Amino acid sequence: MSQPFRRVDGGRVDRGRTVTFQFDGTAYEAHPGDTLSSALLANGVRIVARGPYTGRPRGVYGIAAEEPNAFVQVDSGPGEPMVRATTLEVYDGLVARSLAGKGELRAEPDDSRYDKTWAHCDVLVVGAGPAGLAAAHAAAVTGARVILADERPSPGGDLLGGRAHLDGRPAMDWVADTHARLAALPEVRVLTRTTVTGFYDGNFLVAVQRRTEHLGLAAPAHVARQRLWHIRAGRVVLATGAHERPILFPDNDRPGIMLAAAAAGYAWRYGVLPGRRAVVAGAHDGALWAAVELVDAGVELAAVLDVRSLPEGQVHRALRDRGVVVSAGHGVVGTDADASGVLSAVWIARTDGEARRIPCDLLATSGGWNPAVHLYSQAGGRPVWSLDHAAFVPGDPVPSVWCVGAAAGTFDLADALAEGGEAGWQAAAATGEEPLPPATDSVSGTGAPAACWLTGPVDERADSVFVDLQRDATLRDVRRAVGAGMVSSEHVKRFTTAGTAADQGRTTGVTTVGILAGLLGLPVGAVGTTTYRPPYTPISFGLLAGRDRGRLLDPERRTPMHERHEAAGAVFEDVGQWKRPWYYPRPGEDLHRAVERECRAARESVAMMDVSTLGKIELRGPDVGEFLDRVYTNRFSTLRVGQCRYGVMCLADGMLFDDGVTARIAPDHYHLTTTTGNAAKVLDWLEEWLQTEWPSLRVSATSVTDQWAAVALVGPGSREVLSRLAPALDVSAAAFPFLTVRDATVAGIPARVFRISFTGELSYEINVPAWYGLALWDAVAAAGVTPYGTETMHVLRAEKGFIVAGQDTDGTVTPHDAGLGWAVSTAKHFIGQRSLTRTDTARADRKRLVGLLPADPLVVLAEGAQLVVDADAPTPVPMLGHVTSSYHSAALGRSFALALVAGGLTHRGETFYAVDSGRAHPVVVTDPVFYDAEGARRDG
Amino acid sequence: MADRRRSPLAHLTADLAATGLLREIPFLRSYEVRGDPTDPALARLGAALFPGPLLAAAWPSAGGTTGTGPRYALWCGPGWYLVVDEPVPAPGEAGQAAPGSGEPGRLLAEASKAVPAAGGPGPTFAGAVAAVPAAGASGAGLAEAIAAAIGADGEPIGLSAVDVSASRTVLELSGPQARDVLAHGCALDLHPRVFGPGSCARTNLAKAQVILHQTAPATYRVFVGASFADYLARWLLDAAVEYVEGEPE
Repeated sequence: MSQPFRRVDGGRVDRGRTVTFQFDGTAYEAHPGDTLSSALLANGVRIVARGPYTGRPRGVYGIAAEEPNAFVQVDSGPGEPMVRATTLEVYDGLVARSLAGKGELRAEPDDSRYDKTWAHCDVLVVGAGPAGLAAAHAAAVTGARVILADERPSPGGDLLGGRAHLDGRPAMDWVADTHARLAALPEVRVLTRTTVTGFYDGNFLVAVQRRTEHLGLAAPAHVARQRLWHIRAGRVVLATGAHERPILFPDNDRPGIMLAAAAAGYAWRYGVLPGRRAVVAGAHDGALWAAVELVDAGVELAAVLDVRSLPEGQVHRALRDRGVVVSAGHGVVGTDADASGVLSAVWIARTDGEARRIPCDLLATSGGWNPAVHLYSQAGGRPVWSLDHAAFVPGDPVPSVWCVGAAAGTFDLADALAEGGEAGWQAAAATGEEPLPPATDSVSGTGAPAACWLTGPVDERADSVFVDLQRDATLRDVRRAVGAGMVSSEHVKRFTTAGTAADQGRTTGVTTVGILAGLLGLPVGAVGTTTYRPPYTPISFGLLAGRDRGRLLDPERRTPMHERHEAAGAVFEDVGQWKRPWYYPRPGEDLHRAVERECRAARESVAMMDVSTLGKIELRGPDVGEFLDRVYTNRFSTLRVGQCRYGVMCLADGMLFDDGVTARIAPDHYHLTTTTGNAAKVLDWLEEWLQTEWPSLRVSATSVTDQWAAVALVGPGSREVLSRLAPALDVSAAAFPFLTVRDATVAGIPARVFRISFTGELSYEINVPAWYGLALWDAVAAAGVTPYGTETMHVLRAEKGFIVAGQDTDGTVTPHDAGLGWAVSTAKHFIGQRSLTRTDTARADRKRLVGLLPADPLVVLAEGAQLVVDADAPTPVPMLGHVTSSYHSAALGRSFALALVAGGLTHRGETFYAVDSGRAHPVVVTDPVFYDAEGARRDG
Repeated sequence: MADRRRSPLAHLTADLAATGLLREIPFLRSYEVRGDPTDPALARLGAALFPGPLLAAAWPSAGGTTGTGPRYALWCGPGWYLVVDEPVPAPGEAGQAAPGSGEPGRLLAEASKAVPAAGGPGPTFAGAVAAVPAAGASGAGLAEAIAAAIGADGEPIGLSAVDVSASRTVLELSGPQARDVLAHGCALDLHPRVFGPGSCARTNLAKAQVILHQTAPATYRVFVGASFADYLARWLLDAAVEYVEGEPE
């Protein structure tokens, strides 16, 4: 069926081509260039939504971002909920349906591409209507870097499809010329289909660019569907135009009622008749000019109403020439609908006069224009009420921001062009002659707009006067809010929900303020608008995520040996951003069996682990020893060159922060290691003290975490393997004792070998420049050494009672609590020392590290399980502590755990219950060292 | 002797090349130099590394670089520079040093004549951390120059130079679209009026910390930590997709 409301000609649609789309299950035709709303109107579809609470039918109301009714669910392509039909460009195969208030997200992921980019410019111009184009052009010709962003598919703003003339030519010719000139300049970027949604501190603005949606199903998959622009602008020109506002009356929500300039816009921009027989009702000249546009487009004007009574002016004569007489002092007092709820007639009346019924299918209403002050307001500006404009206009200027054109309340085309050009030129900080704006047809105004919010018997019919169509909020709700004592527009907004829907009350927000002012007996300016917050229009979560999805969500840090771990079938564990092998299952093995095998290899023969992820920091300078004495609880200045020492670091509160082994490589050179997850934090901590507290210490810290790849060679067979790999190195216990470091050539690779142990076994950590990591790994593996992962490492260290900072500690644990009192010096000062003497940190009943043996050796306790004395005690059950580490031990042949318990080892031998998920397991408190307590295995 | 080194992006060489705008430059020799800018030793080191006219600044100021050949210094922060030189040659290549010449710590341990902190022990480590004489190629010359400058007056100094050659790799982007690709993940203004050849910055590219250096018009070098290189390369490959396969009309 062919578009019965399509005009014979006119409009910026491609009449040579036809596309097919579906709405609410029916197929229709449209032309490229149509929006869904223009296409629906062309096909005579009047009902496009329903009130979410009232269920009342609603029709297309606006023509752009102000639309309150026509939000649809798109089912084609990736699908999208609550898309504004007035900005949705129709494409072949579009499938959409009407909504009642809210849409629905698809369950399947949207795998369209969305991306983000940064952009910088001297001048950002928002809005490519006449004022914005003039501003961008004036700025650009100075050589400034300019970004011009506009939400429509092409520049022109309100000139699009209009009949204005500039310099004696159609205005759209000027638009095309200006656009072409801008596009040819190398420092200008014109972003169409781009909505600037937020204005943040420091002239940082965010914009949403819709890049391929208009291509519909033909959109190439590799091209980002939408792009989020982060724009840093030196200066900003806001040429955001204005939003038309309606006049409210009883039953003002029927399909067929729309904004007057929107109705005229459909006729001329899209070549679509919004109705055949219309009543136009307004409170300003613009409404009357819209009537001229409608009658010229072929709409029969049944009546033209103006709430004002004015002497005849240019627009009255224009209407009279067309056989139309303006009914002055008249307003709409009600509407009728047909059986489907669509507008069938309008009741009009003079104040206190008899109402008259006029059958029609279109009621075009316009109470005036609200400058789009959203971005100005977000930038910190305060809109003020202007009696001359009967609107809120930008108040005090915001530094480096200009408001021009309709956004500043300048509705005259010539004035808007001049204002835009002047602002663009100033924003570019230009000197010299200012460009002249083009000359326009002169349109003289008739009279000031009236601040008219309501007409008709609105008090009697308050529940049918809709102040927010999308929220179904009515005048009665506003009256109720005032009756409850509310006087602030913010409170009334939240009480009534008017202005809180997806359209953010763009059409009726100011109207609601005007009504509230009337009810309170206050001037409109004294009530003021609600706050405008970003985003101006909704931003999809897909776009906010951008490319930060899947593998790119967060960096995966890899060691040089990563591909060997993958090839060996390792299961990986995330440790911070690192990917670490968790365990290496052989065919048929689960975690438990693999870990048992790996543990056995480390305890009984020889095993290897990739420990490249450990944080490593080079400390250089004559004062490093002194510095380390201050940041570690134990002493490092006495460490001899070639030796290593385990150290514990506290924060200023005395709580254990990090631990690790530090070696002295040369008198003024130490090599410090941190836990994998804390590397960056420790470096920041050291830098903070060096830079802010102790700048006199001559110490520099350099991260070398990525410089070194490291392999831990562990087990009673490790010395023999190392001696084969490093024949020139004397690996005897006497020549290379525990806690020393040696430089050596290992497998032909220059290496630094530490004799340290995190397992209790004889072990070495072989460090090589990272690019040799893979070769080192291969060489050690070729010696028949079993690789093991983090799970085995945890079992082995826990068997020895070695803590992991961040697992067995949680920021409330002192070194003494963790059983590391031996590492706390009493002969020097260190960070956190004084805190350790506080009454609370010195309490005897603090939670301290203990071991636990479950009564049932097959039960592996849940980490985090709470410990109680009596599992059957009435709640609240006193909790003594919790399990911090829990494993099955191959060496012990049973399960075991570490825990923090109030009173610590004073409870040795006592039985507690570890409670988890409603089950209580009896456990016996033991010393936390379960294996080789005398340390005999360390030397092999 | 075969080169047993593996660069962090060796596994992505073909993918990077396929874009026509990305490649890895591996194994560049580099040192992080830190010192008090008022310390004469820092000036001495600068003069040794970057010989030039009297009074010419050897060390770059904020956001800049010095050096025009293969050896240059990048400003990383106050008193903090990254000195970059030609790639460390593979073992067996002509003129290269023995294995170990690229090994951090050793050079300074040998070069520094610093005395231990008061009350501290004397060096007893002589046999363990052996000095490896540097010789030959430009990179090894760099090591010598550093050793000479740091140890010159035999006094403890606050100047440090750490070999970080294996810490990072370099991703180079070149071509007219390089700037647009970077803009997807870098908040800095890279317009030639602001960031031209010779500019450098420590910044974030996507979620990786990098040092960004423009070496020539439309050519950028991204220094990225070895462990982050795979992530960043994949991010760049993804960001380059539209520029490689074509944008919408």
